[in-house]
Amino acid sequence: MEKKPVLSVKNLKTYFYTEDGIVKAVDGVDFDVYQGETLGIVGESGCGKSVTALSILRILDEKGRIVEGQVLLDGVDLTKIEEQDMRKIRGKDIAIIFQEPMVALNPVFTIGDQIMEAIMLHQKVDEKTARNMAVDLLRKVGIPEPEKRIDQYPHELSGGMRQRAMIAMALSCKPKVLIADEPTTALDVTIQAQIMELMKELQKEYGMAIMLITHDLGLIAENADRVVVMYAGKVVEYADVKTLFNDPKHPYTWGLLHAIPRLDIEQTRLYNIPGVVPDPLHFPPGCKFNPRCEFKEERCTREEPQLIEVGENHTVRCFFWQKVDEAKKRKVGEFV
Amino acid sequence: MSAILKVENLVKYFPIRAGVFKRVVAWIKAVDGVSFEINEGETVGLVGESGCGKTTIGMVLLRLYEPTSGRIIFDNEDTTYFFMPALRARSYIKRTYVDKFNALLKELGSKDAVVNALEGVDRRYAEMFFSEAKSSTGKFCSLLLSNMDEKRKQFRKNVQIVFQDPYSSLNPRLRIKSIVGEGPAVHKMVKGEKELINKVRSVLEDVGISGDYMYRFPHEFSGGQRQRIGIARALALSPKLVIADEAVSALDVSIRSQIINLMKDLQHEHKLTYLFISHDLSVIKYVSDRIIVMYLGKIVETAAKKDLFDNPSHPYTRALMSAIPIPNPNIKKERIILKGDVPSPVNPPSGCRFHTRCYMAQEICSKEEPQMREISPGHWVACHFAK
Repeated sequence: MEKKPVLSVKNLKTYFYTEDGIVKAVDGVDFDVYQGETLGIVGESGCGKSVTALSILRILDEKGRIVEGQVLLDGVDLTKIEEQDMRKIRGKDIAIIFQEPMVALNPVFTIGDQIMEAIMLHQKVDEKTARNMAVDLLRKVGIPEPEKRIDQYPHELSGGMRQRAMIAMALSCKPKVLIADEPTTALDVTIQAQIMELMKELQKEYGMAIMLITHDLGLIAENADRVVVMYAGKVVEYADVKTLFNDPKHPYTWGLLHAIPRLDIEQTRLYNIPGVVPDPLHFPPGCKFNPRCEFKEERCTREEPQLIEVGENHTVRCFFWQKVDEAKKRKVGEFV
Repeated sequence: MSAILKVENLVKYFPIRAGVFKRVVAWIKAVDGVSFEINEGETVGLVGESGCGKTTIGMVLLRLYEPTSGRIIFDNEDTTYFFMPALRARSYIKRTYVDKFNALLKELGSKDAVVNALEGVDRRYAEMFFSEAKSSTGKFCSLLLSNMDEKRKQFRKNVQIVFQDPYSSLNPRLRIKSIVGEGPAVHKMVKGEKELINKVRSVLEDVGISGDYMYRFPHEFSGGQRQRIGIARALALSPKLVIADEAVSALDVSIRSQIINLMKDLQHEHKLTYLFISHDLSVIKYVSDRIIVMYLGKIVETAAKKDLFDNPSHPYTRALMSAIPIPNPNIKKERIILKGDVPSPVNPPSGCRFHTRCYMAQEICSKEEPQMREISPGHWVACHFAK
């Protein structure tokens, strides 16, 4: 079955021109997002996962620029179109939910005003209809007494309720792609479970594609269909979720999976990925992960590996991915 | 194993003030009657969602907040009155000890009987009261309150904290040497500049930071390194109890595992006792020997790690466990989705505080508050229906 992606990012490069030098925040990223599917993007802070999202919507700050690559939405390259055309796409075809709903919502307007603004901007409806639509949306995302809540300000809602309101706003124009950038990181786990459940239901109903950006491998395992692992502005591994978790090939993915404390297995010692995420102004030569990699060889410090296909829809940026297969024979949870 | 810390019925309310005269209009019941013990050398994990009072407990233990009521016994000494103003301390001592001893004396008849009926701190204080203080309240208070500065200093040295945010918890104007060395200098653990430098160097190297960096400022380090410095600051005083308040929550996954491993190694080397406060049950599971689960100012369940995970008995504990995403796509687990949000601690629900969100709630739950019950040795649950 050959599916066509709704959104396809090809060789995206976003650089920030700062006073200290050029920060290559996103440096050649490729992936496809399919209708009704969830693409997980996982990585640590500074790996470029959020900048990728901002680049897709073209909402970078003035220092950031997309220097190369394409963002294709149904075949139209969003990096090339005029700003006024882009405005018609933001919030309508592609919507975004941010991590911190208190910052993302405007504190001086009511929830209703902010949802209605999006509706009235993209759809030709009068205020009354827009209001009714907003009430329906709030009900749909599980906010009790939506008729009352619609006139409340963000500070009057709890964190979970605010995130629900954000989702209502994002869904107001039935987007084709919903970008969720750490949507539950600021929330408690029991509320996180509620929000993720809600997003799954809404995805089923609307058939939209979701790009789930997070650092939490648990969320990825439970919600994503395909996964992109990013490190230092590059995709280091791309696979469907089961393959990635059962058979990781990149040393970084493998290390991450064993560095997290888990509820499902007994662990006596966590795996240590030594060192820190490299400074984006001074990336190491060769493979960017090489200073932290226990499998590195001399070649890794000289030459940057390309993404290579190691299985069906499974690509890895590593010369020596077979070594990870060797490492898998070690006993899980007991790294000395 | 002996208990190094014993907390009895700890309560901390914060006033909400309003109006011109800043009258107290309500109380936030952050911690509402919490009792637990920490044994020497073990790690106790304190887990709960935001607003459950876990951080407040840490702050009260450190006496950065004064407890509203309750008793905190540390290292076989009642430390509750250590930081109270003199008059309040006296009234606390009279209320907690003198009145109790006198009542017991009336009941049991002889001083020896009173002493024998008590144990631990109470027994020691009773002996002191009847012999040294000759049953005089004033004298007993003076005895306990003597040498207060020294006692406070000892307490501060023995209980240390590692904070969550490695950015705001280090003074940006101080060099690492001053940050780590201030404690040992104040407590006269080192003599002279040379010893101080050696001390700082050795502590820094313990946490994996080169001693040559001691003249740098905090901004020259990454988040993970700063957290190491925060740990070094706590360790420099050779404390008996380290409270880690969300110490790894702000860190990236790969850095978090480094710090957790480091803290475990240090515990082993220095025989430390940890109170590990976190909202993340996976981290708590990995580091702890015993776990305390809190909800809205109360302990709902406490047990050894294995018992808690093999047999989670409070519905909240179960919901919390089921809410955590498992990084394994092969497992599809039954998820308990709780309704609604955590209620406000200003007006906690009647009866069992969890009943508004509980999937097992019955009529009794809104009327009667469940007491802690021991369902198997060392496994305590506050639920009417726990088996």
